[in-house]
Amino acid sequence: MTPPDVQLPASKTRINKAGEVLRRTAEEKGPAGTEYRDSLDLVRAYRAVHAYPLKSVTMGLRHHARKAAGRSWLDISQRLKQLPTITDKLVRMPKTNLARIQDIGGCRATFLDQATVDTAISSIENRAIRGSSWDIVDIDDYVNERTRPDGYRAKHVIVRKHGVQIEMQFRTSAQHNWAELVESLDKSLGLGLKQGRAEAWAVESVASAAEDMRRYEVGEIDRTRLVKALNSSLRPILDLADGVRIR
Amino acid sequence: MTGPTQYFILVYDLAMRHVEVHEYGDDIEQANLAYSTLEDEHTGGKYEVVLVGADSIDTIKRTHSPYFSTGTATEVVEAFIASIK
Repeated sequence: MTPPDVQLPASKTRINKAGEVLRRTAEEKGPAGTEYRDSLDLVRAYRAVHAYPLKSVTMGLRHHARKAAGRSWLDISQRLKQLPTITDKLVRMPKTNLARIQDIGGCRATFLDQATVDTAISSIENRAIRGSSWDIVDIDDYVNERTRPDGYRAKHVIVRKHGVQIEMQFRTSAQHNWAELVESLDKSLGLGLKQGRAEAWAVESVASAAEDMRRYEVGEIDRTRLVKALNSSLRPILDLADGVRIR
Repeated sequence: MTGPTQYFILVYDLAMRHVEVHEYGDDIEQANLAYSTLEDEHTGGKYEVVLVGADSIDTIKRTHSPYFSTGTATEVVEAFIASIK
């Protein structure tokens, strides 16, 4: 039996209009009037309906992770997207409307290596072909196909569950550790990497560190060479950061 | 790693580099209500407020470690390098 869709708090047209108001207010840095408050409430209500589908998808992800990796899968977590990052995305991608954003609800699993990640994704694809309670909408491969300038590497699978889209992220331990390190440095030093407005030298520095981690992960270099490479790749950021205390 | 999902809201003070953890057990409705309230209480780009879920806060500390990292940037990089097996 196909599970029922969640009840959206309004029509998609109204939800998209609320997203437009958030985008416009952010762009114009305008005052937050009644229209803004009402739109904010609607966007939050729309985000909230993702909670149950997200929980279901995360449980499914756990099942496939266990199947693919036995006891060797690492962590699984979920999050409902922060309001400012929803607005940022709407501003950054003017042609995208709110109802089309695929990661309002997102979950993530980390695995020891790429082979296990790929086994887990195949397991999800096979299950979808045989008919499951979710449909695969998209698979974004940021490992082999769509590498990003900053070196971010992961695979994303977007599914439709109970009528809304949920994003599953798959990372290896090395990819996750790199992403967490970069986010830490970004947060503390305000490099602008997350918002896509970092200077070229900072992007090159973290991209180079991502490549170091990739080479280590596939066995091209040993730990000693990795440490040397990372120290060299991250040097520009560390020089900037000298003495800046994180927390 | 198999218990029911526990929900937390992390309120991160960007200037102080300090995180406040709010716990909601497995009550997602309560967590969702609190998400809006905490967002309204922490505006102006000085905070990050995010609703996360996992089997425990220890998992969140690994999956969302930037909210919990300490030390200088150099120390963070050193700790990162030391953690590579």
